Amino acid sequence: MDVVLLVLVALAGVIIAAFSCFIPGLHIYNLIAIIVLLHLSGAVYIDPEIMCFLFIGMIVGYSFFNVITSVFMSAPDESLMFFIFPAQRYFLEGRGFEASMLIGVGSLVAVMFLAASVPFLPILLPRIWELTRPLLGWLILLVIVFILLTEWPRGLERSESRWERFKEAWSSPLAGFLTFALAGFFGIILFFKPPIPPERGFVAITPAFIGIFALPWAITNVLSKFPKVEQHITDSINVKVHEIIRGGGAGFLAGMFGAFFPAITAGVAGFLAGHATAQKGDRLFIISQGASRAIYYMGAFLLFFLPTMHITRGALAWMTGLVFTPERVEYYYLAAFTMLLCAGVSFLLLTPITKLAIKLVHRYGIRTLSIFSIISCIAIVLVLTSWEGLLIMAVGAVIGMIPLLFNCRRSNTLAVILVPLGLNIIGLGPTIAELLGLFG
Amino acid sequence: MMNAANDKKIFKEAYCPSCGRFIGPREKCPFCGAEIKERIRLKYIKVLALVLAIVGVFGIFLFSKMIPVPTVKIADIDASYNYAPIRVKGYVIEYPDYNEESESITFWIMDETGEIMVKAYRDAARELIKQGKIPGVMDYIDCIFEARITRGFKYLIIEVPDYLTIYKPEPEQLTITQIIENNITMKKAIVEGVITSVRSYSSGYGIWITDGEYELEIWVPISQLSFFSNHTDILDRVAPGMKVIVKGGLKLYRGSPEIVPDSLLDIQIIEE
Repeated sequence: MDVVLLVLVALAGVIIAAFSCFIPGLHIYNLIAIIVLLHLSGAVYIDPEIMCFLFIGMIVGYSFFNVITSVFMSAPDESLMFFIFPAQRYFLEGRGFEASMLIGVGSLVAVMFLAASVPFLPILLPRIWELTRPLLGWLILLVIVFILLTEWPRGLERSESRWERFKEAWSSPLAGFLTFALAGFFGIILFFKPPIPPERGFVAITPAFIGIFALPWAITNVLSKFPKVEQHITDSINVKVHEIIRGGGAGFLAGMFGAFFPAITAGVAGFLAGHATAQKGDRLFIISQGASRAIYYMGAFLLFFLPTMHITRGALAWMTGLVFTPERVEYYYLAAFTMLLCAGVSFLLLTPITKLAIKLVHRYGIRTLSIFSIISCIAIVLVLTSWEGLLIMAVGAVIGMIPLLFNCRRSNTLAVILVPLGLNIIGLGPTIAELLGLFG
Repeated sequence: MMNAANDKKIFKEAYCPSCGRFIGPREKCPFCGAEIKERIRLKYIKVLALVLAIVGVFGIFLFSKMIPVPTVKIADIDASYNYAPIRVKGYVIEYPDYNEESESITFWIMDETGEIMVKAYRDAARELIKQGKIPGVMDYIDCIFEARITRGFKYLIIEVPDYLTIYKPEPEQLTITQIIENNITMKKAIVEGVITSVRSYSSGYGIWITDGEYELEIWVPISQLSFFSNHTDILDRVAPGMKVIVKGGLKLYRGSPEIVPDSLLDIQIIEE
């Protein structure tokens, strides 16, 4: 274990993540999947230990820099879907730079919380797991109920007939429930019988994720007219210290909740934590959601190195687990400190990268960047899977478009993972797949 | 304010549908440049999206159902197969082990390209036991599994016991001398012999039989008692001097062949 080399490789990962953020909709997982695929196919050999630390840098960098594509290019991933609207409001007010810094500060504070918890996690988490394991099915069921309950009838109640008013009020929630049902069914198919070659099994759900979460925004961006809003670069941010600590703390709890429990993503966890800690106002919301997603990505990967329990959470841990096994305790602490270092470097880089993003958006426009994003999404899916993957992506994109067209909650699309995983946890997954005739 | 709203309602065509400004009889909005006549109503796009989503999901569903689960050789399974549903055929080379705590069944299979571990957890394991689908050594199985690669280790998971088919090859009548002298393994056999000793271990029971020249061990794994708890009385009855016929799979243990019966019913006492 050459510590200096591993840390340098991780820093290189931060740089890769910084540049990947200029492609809207490109999730770092897709880039990592391509690296793993190249390694597994024998096309490129990378030492697994080095690859693992490269991924540490990439995921830490991504959790900081992805705010740029989300704030300035309107292309959030599944972990950002809840706070994109407040952040976009900042963008439209010319305060995109400030929004980016708020998210960055939140993430940085949450990383400090994570660093402080590193010595305690190996002791606490196995006990928490022991206590909560039998309740996982209920937990996921409650999250599903929570998502469905957040839909409510909307409408101005100004239409003349009762039927018109009913239609106006219920079209959104009904579209939301339909999105949930379709995404859930889609998820069951992809979990139990993905129609892609078996040698691409490890990325079977990727085309659906790209379709549901990346493409709808890119398509909307291409079709929409965006006002050119001059962004103001500031050397101070409008926030109070207690808001940073409160938002960062809530985000840390949410992120760890999402990282530790299967099927709970950062967006859902952050939203739950927001309710639990009674957050009010855009600033606190942006900080805590930024913190939540940073910890969700980093925390889930840190759990991969946990010496006291073998736990694999999140797509990155699954993919890294295919090539590398952290067999020594030292890896856990080295990974934690490398994450801390990468987080610091990422925060320092956030200002120049944000400024560069503002220039790029100003020069090329969101529409051009989004067309590039759609092309790169298609290329990624084709490389990772096959033409069948494109089919899955297309269906995912149409499901992902429903919330945008009907103004219902995008969280309904998370059913693609919540439903099959929830069914698996309560032991009904294979039975339902069998009833649907997916086996055989 | 109210009048303006009423005007907009009544003289709808005089207002731009895109920006809402008054445009009179124009065919193109002078403010936002939107076409007034050749427009597609958003409602149709919404309906189209819904139809496409429903048809798309059901299309993927039918497509998934149509394509058969691919049959894969053990050596071809690598890390990129993680979570893929695959069909694997092979011979069972280790009698299934049962872990009561985790309620899991584990055994090993091999084909002409390699060996791999097979696991069934909780519901699937309970169902296998209930259905009596416990493969014996050298049984040939054909099953749809989910491939898993965890921290570099590859294995297969039985998700639905209904898709496990066990073929029991016809056993060959062999003598202990034939087996030992020719070191015969990886075969189903019927062997006759006189018990010389019965030993119990934490992992199972060893019953030694002889044909007068050589000795062969009948190995009864402890898990067999969990799978076939109704037939354990045979273990109380067997004693040195008894003549038995045993049917099972021959495998190598520490360099010597041993026979593992599929169940305790495969040990028959023919002379007390």
